[in-house]
Amino acid sequence: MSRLPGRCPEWGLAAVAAAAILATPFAAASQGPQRATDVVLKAAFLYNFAKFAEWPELRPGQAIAVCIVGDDGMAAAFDKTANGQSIGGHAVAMMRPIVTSAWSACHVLFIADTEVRRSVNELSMLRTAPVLTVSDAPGFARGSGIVELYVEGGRMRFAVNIDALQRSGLQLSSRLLGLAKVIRDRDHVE
Amino acid sequence: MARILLSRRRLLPLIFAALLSLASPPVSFAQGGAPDLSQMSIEDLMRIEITSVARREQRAADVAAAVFVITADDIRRSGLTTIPELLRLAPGVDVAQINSSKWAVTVRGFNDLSANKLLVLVDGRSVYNLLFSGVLWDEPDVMLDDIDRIEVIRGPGAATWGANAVNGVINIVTKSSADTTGVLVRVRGGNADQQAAVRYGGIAGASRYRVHAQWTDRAASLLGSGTDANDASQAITTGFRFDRVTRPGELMLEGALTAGRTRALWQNFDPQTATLEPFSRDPSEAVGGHLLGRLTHTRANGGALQIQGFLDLANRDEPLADFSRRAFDLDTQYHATVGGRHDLVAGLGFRAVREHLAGHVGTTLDPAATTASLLTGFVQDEIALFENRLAITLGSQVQYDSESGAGVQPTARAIWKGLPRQRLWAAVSRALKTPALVDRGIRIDFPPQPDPSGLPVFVTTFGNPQAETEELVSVEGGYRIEVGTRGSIDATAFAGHYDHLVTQEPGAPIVALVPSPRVLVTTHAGNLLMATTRGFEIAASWAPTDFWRVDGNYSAFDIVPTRAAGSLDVAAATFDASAPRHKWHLRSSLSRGAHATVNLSVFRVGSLEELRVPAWTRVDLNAEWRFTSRLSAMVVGQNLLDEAHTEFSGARALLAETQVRRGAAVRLRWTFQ
Repeated sequence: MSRLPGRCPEWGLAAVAAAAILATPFAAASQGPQRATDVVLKAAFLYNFAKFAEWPELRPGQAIAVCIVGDDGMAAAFDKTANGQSIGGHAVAMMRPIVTSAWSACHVLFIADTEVRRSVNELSMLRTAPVLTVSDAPGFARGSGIVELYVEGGRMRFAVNIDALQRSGLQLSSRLLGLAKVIRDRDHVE
Repeated sequence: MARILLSRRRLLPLIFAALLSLASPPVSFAQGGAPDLSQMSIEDLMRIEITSVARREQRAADVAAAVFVITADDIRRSGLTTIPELLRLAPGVDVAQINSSKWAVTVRGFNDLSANKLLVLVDGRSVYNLLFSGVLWDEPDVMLDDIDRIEVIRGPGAATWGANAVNGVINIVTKSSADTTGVLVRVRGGNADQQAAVRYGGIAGASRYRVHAQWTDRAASLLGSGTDANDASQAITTGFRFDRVTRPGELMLEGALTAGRTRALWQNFDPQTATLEPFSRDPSEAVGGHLLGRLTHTRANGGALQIQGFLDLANRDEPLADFSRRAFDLDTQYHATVGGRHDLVAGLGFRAVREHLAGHVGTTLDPAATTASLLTGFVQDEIALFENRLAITLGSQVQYDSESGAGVQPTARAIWKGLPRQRLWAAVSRALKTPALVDRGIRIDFPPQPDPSGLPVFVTTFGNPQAETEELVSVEGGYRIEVGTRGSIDATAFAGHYDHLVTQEPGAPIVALVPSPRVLVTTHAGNLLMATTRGFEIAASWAPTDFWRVDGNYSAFDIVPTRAAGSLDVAAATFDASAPRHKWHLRSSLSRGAHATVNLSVFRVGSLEELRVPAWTRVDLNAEWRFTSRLSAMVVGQNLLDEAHTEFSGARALLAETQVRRGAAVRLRWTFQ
């Protein structure tokens, strides 16, 4: 009357069921809602901003300089996202300017929220330059910049200051603007 | 989230400049493989759910202090249920569970039931108790799902946070209501604890709000004999948070009410019969509540003014004493950049606290009630030099305390950012620990102890009405490096010199014959101990693949006590700060897509020699499945290695020694909009 678990059919069945339950989430990994960390998302948004912006002075063959200031994680994520990509025949070149005087050479300039506060003066000098300034600093689009990334309900959103955009002489596609929360000077992102 | 960081309190310029660049596996897709987000439309990007926030990866790098951040993701993966338990994840933090509802938590030594050199803040509200100096860890009953992050700052934070931030600061920051909309239901059941929590977050115009309720039942720990210690505890908390973002400011209101019942095996002394009642089984009843408001006004030039006030009420009826607290705090600060190079923060604060204690068996406080008021001012300037490659921070806190007088707590810090992906920092600081009210006016009659003479020895301890402020001068330095794109190391070394530490100075023994023959020994609190500490903390993080991450840390600590001339406190000569000399922690987190994670944690803590607690090892293992984006289940195993182990001795607090038991639990978490 040996009732060793291994010989008992119920145990075998239970083991199969347990294995199936354990394996299910692994097998189903590709389904369900898409999820990503916020740096990865921000990097992808940044890439899209570059894609839907038009610079008045971009020469054929010239690379689009995407500068990232004060956020190593973001730089690594953007490098991965935009590695080897090109937009309308322009290579995408990520740069990490060390000095603020180099900012005016950027086409897209991402500044980490931690750096915005001490860079108010430098940013104000870029007001009329064709540099698409982007940050995740709260109030950025209302204050010194053009595009502000923010999180709402667990999703990434962005706001565009249309007045600042006009001053810079840049154009953003209407498709992009249609998705943005459009604000004007002294307005506020909520 | 960034909004909270900006509105945060003082070390801010430091902190929000950073929080751990180091720990960065810079980029990981929750999605297992590598879906190419660059090929996705912006409409699709806007539908993606954010799994974790990169504070941890990025921000702590530029802080000239030893900072570690426990993220919301770490909290969720840990399977842990209380704040002190979560602090086990950070390097350099000593966490020892005393019984089912009591913990001893400190940084860099001096641990106790009420470790008095660690300041703890919840959304800028101090939960450090001035009556006996320390934190009652069952008091901040925060719903863990609401926590955005826990910032653990090792080393003196007094220049920015004020007195009693001597060895470290724990800063618990909850999420903005904008990040907690919808409904969340969480239930957990297990042999060691059971918990149920409900939260609802909504939108009303420009405002966001949430309300929550949480019920917790913690099972009893074990006595050495393996029997139930009868120290089960229950708590129920309900709270809310309201955030209104309007032009050009932000308003935050937050409050909670908590009622709890804890039990502990107190070693109870009965002066009438002069016998030691082995255990008191009386429960402790606690009720408390707080209300906090914060207004932040940001100017177009980036300057930010913040005004914060809170009210805090608490009543506790314990077997040893009943005590109550009424606290009011008002705090303002202004943060601005001057000339592009100076990042200035300055602030003023006022606090009034009325503490009352009515002792029971063997415990009396004189005066029984005290109203202490505290006036603080601080200024801090972070100066950027050499094209931002070097940042120097100079700051000081000046305070006037109605109980202990004036104090100055300065700091000087520097961080070198000249090499890519590396940071080198150093700091010198002075910090003060003001005497607790019980340090001045307490009297405790301890249970009689047998003596070789055959007569029972009665020890009575008195406080010191002239108690002095304890002082620390600390030197620390650190180095951080990102190794490749997937690893990071953060190392810190420190040395500190403490002066005027509390001692118990014995008087000459007296033989009394009435009512029965006995030896009477009195001790009076003094400030006759000095100590030198030094230590080393290292934390590393490595993410070999997108779905596997390993974190580890190691801390070493050493203390050399020196009694001042005239001290008769023999025990002080062998004082070891109740901290282990060595400890390490390793955790692995393996995820398969967004659907399953398996987390393994190992904690190794060295022995506490003075308290005679042997070294112990703890292993936790849990697995979480996300059935849908709304429903997940976690199976948790805790303390898997042994049936039970002792982490601390409550003897000094008249508590019986208990053991932490093995635990298993299941957690279900359900969210919907």
